[in-house]
Amino acid sequence: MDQKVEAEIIARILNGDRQSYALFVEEYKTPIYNLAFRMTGNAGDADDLTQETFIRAYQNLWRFDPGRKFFTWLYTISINLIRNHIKKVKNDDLRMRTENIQDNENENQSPETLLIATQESNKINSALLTLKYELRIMLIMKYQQELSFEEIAEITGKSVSAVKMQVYRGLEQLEQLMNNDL
Amino acid sequence: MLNNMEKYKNLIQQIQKHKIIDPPDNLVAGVMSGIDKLETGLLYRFYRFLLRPYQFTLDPGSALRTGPSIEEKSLYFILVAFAHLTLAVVLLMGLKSMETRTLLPPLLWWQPWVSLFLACWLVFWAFILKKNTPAGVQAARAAALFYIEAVVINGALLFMEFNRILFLVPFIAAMIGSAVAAGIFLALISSSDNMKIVRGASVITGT
Repeated sequence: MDQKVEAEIIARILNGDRQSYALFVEEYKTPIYNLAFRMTGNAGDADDLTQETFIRAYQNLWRFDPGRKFFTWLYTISINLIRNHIKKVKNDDLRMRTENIQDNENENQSPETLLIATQESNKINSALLTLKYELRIMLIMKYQQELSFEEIAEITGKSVSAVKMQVYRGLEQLEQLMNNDL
Repeated sequence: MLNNMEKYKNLIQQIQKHKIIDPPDNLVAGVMSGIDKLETGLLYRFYRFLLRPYQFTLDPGSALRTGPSIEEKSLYFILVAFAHLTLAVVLLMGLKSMETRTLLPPLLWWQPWVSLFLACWLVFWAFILKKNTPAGVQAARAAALFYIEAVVINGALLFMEFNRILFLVPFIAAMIGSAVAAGIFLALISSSDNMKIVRGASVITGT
């Protein structure tokens, strides 16, 4: 969504047109939901966290700096909520949730290939969920959400070089985890 | 470092191999009903009213030129009401300490209550303005005119009562003068009907 259009919608919402907020929810519900789902491995939690993200954003809309992109601001709220949620859930619980993250990209393949692909997918999801929060969120934002280093830096409030470093460390640790599992 | 990342190409491909998952169909409805609940909460509305970033200016002329939004008009009423409330409290405290020492005319005893009444009056019309109905805005303008009349009559009565105590005249005149100016200002901003669109915050003036 264009930044100018976003600013107009925000002005409308702040002037009392609350229904205009549904435009933002429609526009950004999928990336926010996917981020929460990949981070928690649970559809119910992802649903709750997505709703909470949008409600928090609405609640603090008057604080939004129009010089920023709305979606990076929304991501910032979302990752903070996810961090708080994850603190409450033990790592073991997260690992157990790996089976929930079933991807259907291999639907048309043979049962054997599908089984191998599902096992690989489960393995990487499990390893991702074992990573420390800071590294996991970096890898998910970079490679699953396909955000640029600059966007991640803006969302997390870190420098671009710090983000690159964390992504690199994340990949390093993820590979170690994958190798240890073999 | 980016070159080093090349060695993780396979791993990156595996991470990327994920389909986008569609969120539940009722997500938008859920968010909107959450917002409706939030908006009906008095605490949230009070918090937002208090803490949203208003940008103040010392140039009321600018507010008149740019045509304030309904939120801003309402806030101006609240600000004048707050001034009256402060005056009422100060007068009440001051008169209480004088109670045993002097016999003051009843008109002076009424001043805190007059001020308190005017504060309540303005707060009431600030809330009516917030509803942003054409009738409400018209009525608020009439209320601002009534406010001017009230302060002028009250001031005239005070002058008649204290015409012999010359040192009080400048003080009373300043009070009446500023109250009348505030009243005219409120009447004028209520009569401008253009709604300004603001970005990110409620802006008091066009600055």
